[in-house]
Amino acid sequence: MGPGFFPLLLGIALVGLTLLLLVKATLAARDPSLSLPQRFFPSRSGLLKLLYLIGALAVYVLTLQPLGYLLSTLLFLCALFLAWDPKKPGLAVAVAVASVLCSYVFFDLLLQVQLPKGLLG
Amino acid sequence: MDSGIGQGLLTGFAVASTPANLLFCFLGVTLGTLIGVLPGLGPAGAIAMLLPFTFGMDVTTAIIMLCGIYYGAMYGGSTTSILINIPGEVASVVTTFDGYQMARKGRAGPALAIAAIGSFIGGTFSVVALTFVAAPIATAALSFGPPEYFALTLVGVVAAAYLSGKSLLKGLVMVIVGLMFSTIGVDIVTGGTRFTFGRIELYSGVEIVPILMGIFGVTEIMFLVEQPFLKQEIQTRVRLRDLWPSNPELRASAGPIARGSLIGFVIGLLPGAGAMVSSFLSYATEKKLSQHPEAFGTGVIEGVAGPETANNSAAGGAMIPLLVLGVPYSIITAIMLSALITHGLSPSPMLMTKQPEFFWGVVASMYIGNVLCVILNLPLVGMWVSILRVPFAKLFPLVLLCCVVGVYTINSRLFDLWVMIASGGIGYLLRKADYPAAPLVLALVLGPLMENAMRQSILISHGDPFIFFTRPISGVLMFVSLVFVSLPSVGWLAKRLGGAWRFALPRE
Repeated sequence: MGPGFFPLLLGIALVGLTLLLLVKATLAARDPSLSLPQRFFPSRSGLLKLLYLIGALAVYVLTLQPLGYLLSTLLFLCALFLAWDPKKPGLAVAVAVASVLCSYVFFDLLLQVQLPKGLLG
Repeated sequence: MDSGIGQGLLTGFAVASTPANLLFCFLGVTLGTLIGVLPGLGPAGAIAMLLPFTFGMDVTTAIIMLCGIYYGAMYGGSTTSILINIPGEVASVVTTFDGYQMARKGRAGPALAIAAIGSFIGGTFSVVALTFVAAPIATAALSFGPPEYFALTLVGVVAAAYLSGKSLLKGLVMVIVGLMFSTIGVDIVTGGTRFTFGRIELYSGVEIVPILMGIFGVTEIMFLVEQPFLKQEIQTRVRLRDLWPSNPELRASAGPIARGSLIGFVIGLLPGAGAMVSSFLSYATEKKLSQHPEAFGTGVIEGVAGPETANNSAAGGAMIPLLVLGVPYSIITAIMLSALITHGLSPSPMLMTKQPEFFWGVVASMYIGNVLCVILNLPLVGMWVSILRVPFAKLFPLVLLCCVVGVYTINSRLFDLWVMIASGGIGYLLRKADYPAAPLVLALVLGPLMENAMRQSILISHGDPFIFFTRPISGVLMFVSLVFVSLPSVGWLAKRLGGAWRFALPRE
């Protein structure tokens, strides 16, 4: 019973299961009575929103340590607030600043989470 | 035995009513309700988000708070089901059928009240039942060896695969993927590393919280963001004096609540099923027993009372496999197990006798948590509803912020955050392709337990794999797993053969 035994069993099982799924999918594709599945992405604008969201998250993680918690979070929240509600930019920035300060008080001072200091540290 | 329970509960209430534990129980219930009310985020998301913040606490306090979050999120979920027709989590999907219809007829108050009353009775019933059932099960489980534990975990993952999605095959694929992820890291028997690709971050295995936050936080947000946002019609005119159900409504609810308590507890105990199945089963039972089944779906109070009772009762039932056997059968209890392991505590049949303060403290806190939930949810329902008026565009970035900080808290490293984002993306694709996430998470947590039990069993039997089938308890459990796996193919075969049989008959 080496360390590779359990993963080997799992691998065999996974190959078997995916083969079965493949057969099932091929059979289902031949059956004309089954309607086509719905589209994977419901709309183009929805997909763009998703990509923007993931991009914003990735930039947030990248800037978290160099810029520090306060600045990177402010950027992240502004980016999302402004994109989703561009009509009132002043309000968006105000809410972002307030959220950053509240979350800093809550996480850093109250819960004592060690947040990255970055530029302001 | 009875004096044992009495003694235990006394100890428990002494532990649970210390100011710190009461405070965190209250905090848990409040935060849980808050997150449960938010659309898309249910108990699993709530617990995953707040889990990292409990790591600094004492074990008992941490679990008390997590239980509080769980109850709170369940209550919060039913509130949104009734008022805006959006179930906060799967277990309150059924509540929307009649609950929202009641709200549209202006009976939102009684619907909320009966949901809270039912949840309270169901929750309390299952805690009382837990108190009495736990000891005998623990005694029986003392004789369990590695083969029994392997079989217990196998039934758990197979049942989850069978019950959590449309396709058993896809569920099983997710189980295997979850088990594979669980093998990453240093192998505890040989000390060698597996699948780490030289990354030091992976030596101690995959961190579970980032994956949970990805699947239950980021994925949910992705689904909400993708859809064009609809303005919900919120039934807000709920005044305190409108809350109390009328006498006929109370009488109609008594039966469903009694049956729901029982159904929930029993289903909660079983592998795979959990809160969602129990609520559907309760709804179906009430509809069958009702003298006016055609009225179901138009806003009858029985359709709210039964399922809401059952899903809370199932929550208590689900704690038994976790606390007594150390084998979680639902996502929530799986998350709690990973919390316990982080605190260096592994539940076993010995838990009750070895750490009575922990066991009974947690049980007693569930009584307290149920009371707190009713106090928080009924009079303050207006406050929770007002949270729904905060625009979604302002809400979801803050939820993501909490996920990021939560994940960063665990190890203060960016690697975990990348895991979270990747899990969110993968979770999104999986859900689009109808692959259920629940079996993956359950298998990820159960994986190490399962592998160890298998290796030890084979070691005991000197390499004979039939050890799992020849011991009576593990044999029965293995058979049950086989039945779960073969059910769909039996149905498929019967249909095929039936079809062939008809073709063979001469046509008239």
